[in-house]
Amino acid sequence: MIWSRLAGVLGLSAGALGLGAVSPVMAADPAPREAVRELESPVLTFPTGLAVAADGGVWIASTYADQLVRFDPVTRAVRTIKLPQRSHPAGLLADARGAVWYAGSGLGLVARIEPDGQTVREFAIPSMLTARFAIPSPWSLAADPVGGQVWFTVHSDGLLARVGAEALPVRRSFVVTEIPLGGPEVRPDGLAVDARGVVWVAELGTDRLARVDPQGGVSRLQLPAGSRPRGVAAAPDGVIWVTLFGRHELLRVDPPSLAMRAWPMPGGRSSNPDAVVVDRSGAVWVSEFTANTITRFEPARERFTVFRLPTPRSGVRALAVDGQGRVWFVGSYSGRLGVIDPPGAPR
Amino acid sequence: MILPRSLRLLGVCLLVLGLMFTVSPLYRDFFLDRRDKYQGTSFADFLGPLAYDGRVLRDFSWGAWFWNPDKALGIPRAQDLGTRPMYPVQLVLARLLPPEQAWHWNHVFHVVLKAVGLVLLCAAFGWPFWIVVLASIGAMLSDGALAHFADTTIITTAAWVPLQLWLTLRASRARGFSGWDAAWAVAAALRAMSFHPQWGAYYEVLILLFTLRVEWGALRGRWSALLLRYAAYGLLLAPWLLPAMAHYADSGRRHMMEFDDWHLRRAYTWWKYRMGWGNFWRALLIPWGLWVLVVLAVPIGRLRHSILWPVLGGYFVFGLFHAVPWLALPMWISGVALLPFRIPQRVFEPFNWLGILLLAEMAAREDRSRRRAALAVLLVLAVGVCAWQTRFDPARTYIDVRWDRQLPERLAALVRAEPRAPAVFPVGQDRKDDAHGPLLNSNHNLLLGLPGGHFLGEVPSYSYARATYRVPGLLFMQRVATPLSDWDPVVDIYAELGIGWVFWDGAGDPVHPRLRLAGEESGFRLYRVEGARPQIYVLDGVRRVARPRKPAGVSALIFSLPALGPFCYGCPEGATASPVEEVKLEPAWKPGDVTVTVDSPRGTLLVLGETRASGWRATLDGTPTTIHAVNEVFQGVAVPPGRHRIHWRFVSPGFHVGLALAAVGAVGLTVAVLGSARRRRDLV
Repeated sequence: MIWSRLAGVLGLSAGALGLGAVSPVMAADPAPREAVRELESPVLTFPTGLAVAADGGVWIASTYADQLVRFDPVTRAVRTIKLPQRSHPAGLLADARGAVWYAGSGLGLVARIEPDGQTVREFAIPSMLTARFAIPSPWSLAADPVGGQVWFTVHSDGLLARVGAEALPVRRSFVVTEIPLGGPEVRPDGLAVDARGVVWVAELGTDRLARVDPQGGVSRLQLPAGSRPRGVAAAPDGVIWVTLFGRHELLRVDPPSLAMRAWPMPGGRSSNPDAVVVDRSGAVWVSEFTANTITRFEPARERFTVFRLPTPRSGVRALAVDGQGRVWFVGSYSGRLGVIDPPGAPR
Repeated sequence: MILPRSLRLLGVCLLVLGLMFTVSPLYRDFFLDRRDKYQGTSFADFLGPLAYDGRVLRDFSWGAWFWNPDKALGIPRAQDLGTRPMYPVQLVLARLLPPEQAWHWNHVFHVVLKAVGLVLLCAAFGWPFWIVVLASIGAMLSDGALAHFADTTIITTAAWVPLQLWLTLRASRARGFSGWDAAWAVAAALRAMSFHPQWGAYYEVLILLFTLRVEWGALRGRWSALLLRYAAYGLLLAPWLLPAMAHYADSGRRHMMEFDDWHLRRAYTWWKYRMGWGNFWRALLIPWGLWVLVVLAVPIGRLRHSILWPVLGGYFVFGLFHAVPWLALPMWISGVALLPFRIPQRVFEPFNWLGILLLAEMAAREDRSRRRAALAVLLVLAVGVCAWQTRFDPARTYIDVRWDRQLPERLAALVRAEPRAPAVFPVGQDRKDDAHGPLLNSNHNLLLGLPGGHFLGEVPSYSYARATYRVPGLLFMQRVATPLSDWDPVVDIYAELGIGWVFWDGAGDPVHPRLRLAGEESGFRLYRVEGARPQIYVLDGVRRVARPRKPAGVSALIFSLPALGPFCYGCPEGATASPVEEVKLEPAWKPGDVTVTVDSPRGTLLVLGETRASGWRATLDGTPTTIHAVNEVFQGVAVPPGRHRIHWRFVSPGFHVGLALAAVGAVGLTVAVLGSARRRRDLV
């Protein structure tokens, strides 16, 4: 407690210095093995994106099959949408209208599948015009609850971009606006939009957290060297959570004060936390890429619960929470969709 | 004093080469090895195979002769387009010179060969020497010759054609089979051993048309000689042709239509490369001025009894049927690539220099003095047009750029010092394209003497292609970068495929728990892939799966390797009974020749991490045994309990039969030449 209070007090200045306070290693509770289920179907090819739509459907980006897959948790029906060749869908987002967005990392576009499930609107990004040797790769997506925008990172080119959530493509022009964060070395990865419309972007390559205000102004929080931030999630209470893949820590950022505090992951030095989501109760769910677990962190108790995954080296890079509090995951290597039920839920 | 004919021909050859050097800045730069002034595909693409040829010849083994273990997890040499493993000219140069010099002199030799061939051909037509000189220099200055500079295999193919036509003409003047026919067969075999398949096939048609034209009047007396020389040509070529056919049947290119979402399928299908009319006219008629002058010459000169007009006309019809979309009916009806060719405009390449020869023929055959003078003026103007247009020729953009970056020799030494493990060389998107500076590519691993886990441009074996076609960084087309965000997420796949190293020269650092920075040099960074499977290993667990019908099914299996482990088609049950730690291995690896002594308590599955290909045979204690497909691309052998010796050996199918056939051909040619000489003496 003394540690965490001290860290909280020091958070702002430590953050300004790029030295997030780190709590000592804490005990983690193991979850019962049966809490985690992997489904036999669908079988996916290197899935890297996951989203739960308003109708409860679970959408998966089967990245190297160039497919979007919709799984109905009730009927267990699987529907596959074949995307254009080399789409390589990465990030997924289900918006409030029921549309599903995907980042076509292989084609330099983001696209929206309308709620009818048939109409697809594609939005090319302006940097396609200047790309010479490789197609820019849109990566992660996040919805802005305030401004009606969909924000996304362009991993290969150091860009943040946005498009109106209800925009329509126009011929011979772009409706996507790009905000440069730096060169290719920045490697913007995960992002989240907080309740005030501020966008938080993990700069994987430069160990920074970019903060982009609704007007497009960019400021940065320097993280300790080797942090390699990947996943970003905004909690209902406005707090920002970031996974530090390289330091095996979960970072909490308080937006008003910019105070930072980090907790070591239960997997220790073989953790490599990657994807992060926050459920309605404020619990933070994190996939440990190397430790092959999914952990649930309760901020109030400062305790982790560890869910071991049935398939070794599943390589979970995407998580999503549905309306019933179930946490869905996909293993990029196992090619499997899995689910963790909330405690006490019927299976 | 009248010089002997041979000396005069030598003088003409020197004059033509001197004029090329003087008149054409491009030829001058070419001879002086200053090609880096021009842009185009990187000749670094071709240095790697030359470097490998040199190594094979300096440290010869039959395994290394048949099997290049350093490219695409291993590839038969006869299958690699970038290598002409049995072309004597290239072998001699690779043996004697460092790769860059071998590359340069290989080009110089073939340019000189083409010029000499042209002089001999024009002189054999009986043209006056001034026309011989003008026709030869004009043909060399036409854009077709310059286009060849881009690619070793193309220039060597083209270089033999005039010589071949000259031999065709000389042979046609003899009665029965003669030494000229024998020389023709030898030259044809050399040409074919050097050739680029697509261009080589076009030239074969051209030579056949020329043969028919010059032999037409005497076919009845010459058909047996023609038959004999084509048979000898085929027999001499057999050591290359038989393995090449076997490996082609086994290649990814042969099966590319299965890759329904593969960029290479699109690149190699005819309808993607069909000619637009712009390309058609440009390919056919540049240099424009030349064809205007030919048209002007037609009413002035005589076309009757011309040797070249029917050849040009026949070839033009062939080109049309071959290249114009709605005339290439077989391909359009079948919807498949019946032949492994693309870029149909190449069919018209000989038109440029044939046009000059046509004009020269008209000038030479004209006996009416005014018309002869007019045709001579047109010929001079045509040569001038070619010389003038050379510098504006779009083909010069294909002249190669020198690789001017320091190669990471010190990093390569780190790789070589470790147990053998392939490296990949992804290219960052921030690198310049090879129009401005050559890109790092998978041929550089050959220059550096490293095994490479990926492939540049062409399509290696079918199993390699099925296993890797969706894994970023493993198979890429030249000039296409692999962004960091594509390749570092799949490092675990690399590790499962046994790739132990990554060279990276782009911006940004990879982030993956398995990657360790091993060093930096000249802008390159070398990363070790920790925990990568070794080249020879055993498995104590394997998924027994049905062979997927489509490459997409293989792709799903490959991407699941880190989580679900290796897979095998048809491996016997219980083959992986021994825990890995209880199995003792004593491997002895040589290219195409691998011996492993295995000691296991309950039997094991031994895997050789080199590409499956027809030509591999395995024995267990000297008895032939089955090679199972592990992870689609590798070779597994089930080993019973106890101590056993497993031996893998690769021999290109048909090579030894081909050698025997070549010997038959050589003996047959010798006998035929001696026999015909005796008959001639008897007649005298």
